[in-house]
Amino acid sequence: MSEVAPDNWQDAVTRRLRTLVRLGPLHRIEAVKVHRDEDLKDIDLRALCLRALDLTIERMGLGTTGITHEELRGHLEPLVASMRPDLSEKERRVVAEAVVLDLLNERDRRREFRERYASFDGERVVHREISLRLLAESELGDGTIVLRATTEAINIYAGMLEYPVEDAQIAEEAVLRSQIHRGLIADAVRTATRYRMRSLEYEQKIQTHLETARRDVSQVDWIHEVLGFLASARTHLEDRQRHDQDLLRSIEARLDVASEGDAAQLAHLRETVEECFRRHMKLHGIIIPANQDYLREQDRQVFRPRLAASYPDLEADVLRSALELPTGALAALADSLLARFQPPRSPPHLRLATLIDKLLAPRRASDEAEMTPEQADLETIDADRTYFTPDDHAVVADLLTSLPVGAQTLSAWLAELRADGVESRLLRLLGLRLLAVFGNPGVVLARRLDVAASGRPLIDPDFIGDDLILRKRQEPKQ
Amino acid sequence: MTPLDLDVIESAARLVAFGLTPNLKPAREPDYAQLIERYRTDAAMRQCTDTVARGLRLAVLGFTPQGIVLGANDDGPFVHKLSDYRRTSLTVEDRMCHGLVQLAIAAWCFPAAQDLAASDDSAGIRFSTNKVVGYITGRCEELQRRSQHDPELGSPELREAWRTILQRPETRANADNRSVANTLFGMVEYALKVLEKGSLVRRISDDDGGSWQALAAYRIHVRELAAHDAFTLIQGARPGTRDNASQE
Repeated sequence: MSEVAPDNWQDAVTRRLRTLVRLGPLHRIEAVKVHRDEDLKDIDLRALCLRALDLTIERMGLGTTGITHEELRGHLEPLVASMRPDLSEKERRVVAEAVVLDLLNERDRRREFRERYASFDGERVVHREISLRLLAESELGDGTIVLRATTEAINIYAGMLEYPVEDAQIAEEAVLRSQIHRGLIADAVRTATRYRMRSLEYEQKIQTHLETARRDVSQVDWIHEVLGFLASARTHLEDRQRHDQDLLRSIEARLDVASEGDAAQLAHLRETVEECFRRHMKLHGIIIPANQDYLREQDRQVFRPRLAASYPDLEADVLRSALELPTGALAALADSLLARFQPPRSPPHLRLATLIDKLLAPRRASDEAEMTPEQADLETIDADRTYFTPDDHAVVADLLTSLPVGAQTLSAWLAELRADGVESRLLRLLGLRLLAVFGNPGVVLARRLDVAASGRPLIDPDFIGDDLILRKRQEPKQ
Repeated sequence: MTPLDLDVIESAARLVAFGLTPNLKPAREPDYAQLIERYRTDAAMRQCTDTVARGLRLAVLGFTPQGIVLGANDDGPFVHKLSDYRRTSLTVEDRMCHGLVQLAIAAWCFPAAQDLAASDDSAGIRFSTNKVVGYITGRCEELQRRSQHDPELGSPELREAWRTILQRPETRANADNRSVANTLFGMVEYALKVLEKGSLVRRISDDDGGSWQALAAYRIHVRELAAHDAFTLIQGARPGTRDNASQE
C-alpha cells in the first residue's frame, strides 16, 4: 500500500516519528530489562511481547472472546524456554508473567504508556505526547477475565501505522479481491489474515467510541462528533458487508472448480472472510440503535450531576491530604470513609435456630482477624491466683528504688536490666507498675516517680507500646 | 400518578436483590441477565429500579458484565460501619487507620482521575497485600522526609496521621504477628476481604501476602460514590476549613 503523499517535510517527519514512537513501549521493556531482578540475558522481551500480541489477537475471534492471563503466560513459557533452556520451570513462568504484566503496564499501575515526541508546526517545534495501551483486561459475564489487544496494539502488530483503520480495511479487501480473482490462493489466505486483523481493530475502535459516549455524554460533542462518526461508521459497515458477500461469492465460485490442495486453502479463506462478515454485521447491529441509546443515556445522566464534575486524583488530592490531617480529625471521618469505599452489606438478622446452633457449637479455632491480642487483664485481676509472687513484687520494688536520678527512657532501662540478667517476668511486672503510675498519678509510687509518654515507640524484644520517660523525683524532705 | 405496575416493581426489586448478592453473575443466572437488559432498554424499569434502590437507601452506581453495582447511603441499613467492622474495641488511632486503609487501597488501584475513567468492562490492576502496606508506609515516609519540624510531644490526636502510622509499633509488626487485627497488614487484609465479599476485588493467589485484582465494579464504586465525597470530606477537615467540616 502506498503512503499518502504528505504536503511538506514537516508532516512527513511528524508522521514517521509518530509511527516510531508508538513502538517505544516495546523497546523500553527490552531496554530496562537489565534493571530487573530476574536474569534476562539472551531473552528478547520484544519478541515475546509481539508473540503475546499475536496470540491475543488470534483469540479475539467471534466465537472466543480473548485469552486469559494464565493461558497467555502458559503459551509464552515454551518460548522463554527455547531462548534460555537453562531456566527452571518457575523462572520461565516468572519471565512469561513479566511479559504479560509489562504489556498491561502493570508497573505503572496500568496507566497508558506515554510517549513524547517533537512535531513541527512550520518552523516551530511543538512537544506532543501519544498515549497508548497495548493490552487490556476485560471482564466477562461469567466472572472470567480475558486479555484483549487494543486498537493501537493491533495497529502495531499489523505493521501499518498511522493509517486510519477504515482505509486499511478497504485496501486489504481490494488486494484480497484481486488475489482471489487471479487465483493466488496462498497469498489471498495471508491477506485475509490481515483483513481479519483490520476488522478486529475496527471493532475496538467502534467500541471505544461508544463506551466513552455512553459513560459520560457531557464529554462528547454530540451533534458534530458522535452523529458524524455514527453516520460514517454505518456507511463503512454497509460497504464492508456488501464487499464481504462479493468476496464470499468469488470464493464459492473458485471452490467449485478448485483442485484438492486449493480447496483446503479456499475453505480456510472462506472461514476467515465469513468471520469478518459476521463481525461487520454485528457492529452494524450495534451502530443502528446507538443514536437512541445515546439519547436515553443523556436523559439518565442529566439526573446525575456528579458526572459533570471531573473526578479527583485520589493519590495526590485525597490520600496525601488525608495523611496530613490530625489523627483525631481523620479518625472522626472513618465511618464516612468506610461507608463510601465499601460495598453494601446485608444487615445480619437474628434467627433463633441459628443462634442456638452457634451457642451449642464447639468453640471454633481462633479467627485471625478477630483475635484479641493480650489476656493480661484477666491474669492480674484474680488476687488469690496471681501470676507474680510476693518475692517478685519485692525484687521489683527494689529495682524501682534503685532507679538512678534523672530522666531515662523505659526502653533504655529495660535493656539495661535485661543485660544485668533480670528475668523477663520481673521486667513485665516492672512495666505494669510503671504503667499503673502513668495511668493513675494518685498511686503511692507516683510520689517518687514521674512517668510521662515520650511520643516514641518502645524498642524492646518482648514488649510493644509507647515508650515512657521515667524521672525519679527528689525525695521529699520530711 | 400512573397506576402501579406491580410486575415492574417486582422486577426492579429482584434486580436490586441480585445486586445485594454479588456472588451471583448474570452469565449464570439468565433471569439476572434479562433484568439488566430490561434496565438498560426500558425507561419504566430503570426509573422503578432507581426508586426501589433509593427507598432502600441504596443507589444504582452502574453495571459491569458481572452485574449491577450498588452503593449504600450512609444513613441506611446496608451501610458498612466501623462498629460492624471490628468487634474489638478500637482506639482513635485504630479508627483512623481503618478509614485510611480503605482510602489507600482505592488510591493505589486508581491513583489519578483518568484511572477512574477507564472503560466499565475493563478489569483493574493486580496487587498484593504487602504492596498496599508498602504504599501506605512509603507515602508516610515521603511526608516525613519533607517535614521540616520535629513533632512536639502533645496530644496523639493532634499529631498528623502519617506520624501516627509511622510511630505505631503495629506498623512495623514482624512476619509472625502481621495478620493480628491491629497491625497495618492485618487491617489491609481485612479491608480487602470486605471488598472481596462485595465482588469489588478478587483474590488471585497467596503470593506476597495475598494477591488481588481490582474489578471493574470497584472502579465504578469508587468513581460514582467514593472519590468525590472523600475529596470533599478530607478537604473539609483540613485545619482552616473547620466550618466546612462541621457541616458534614
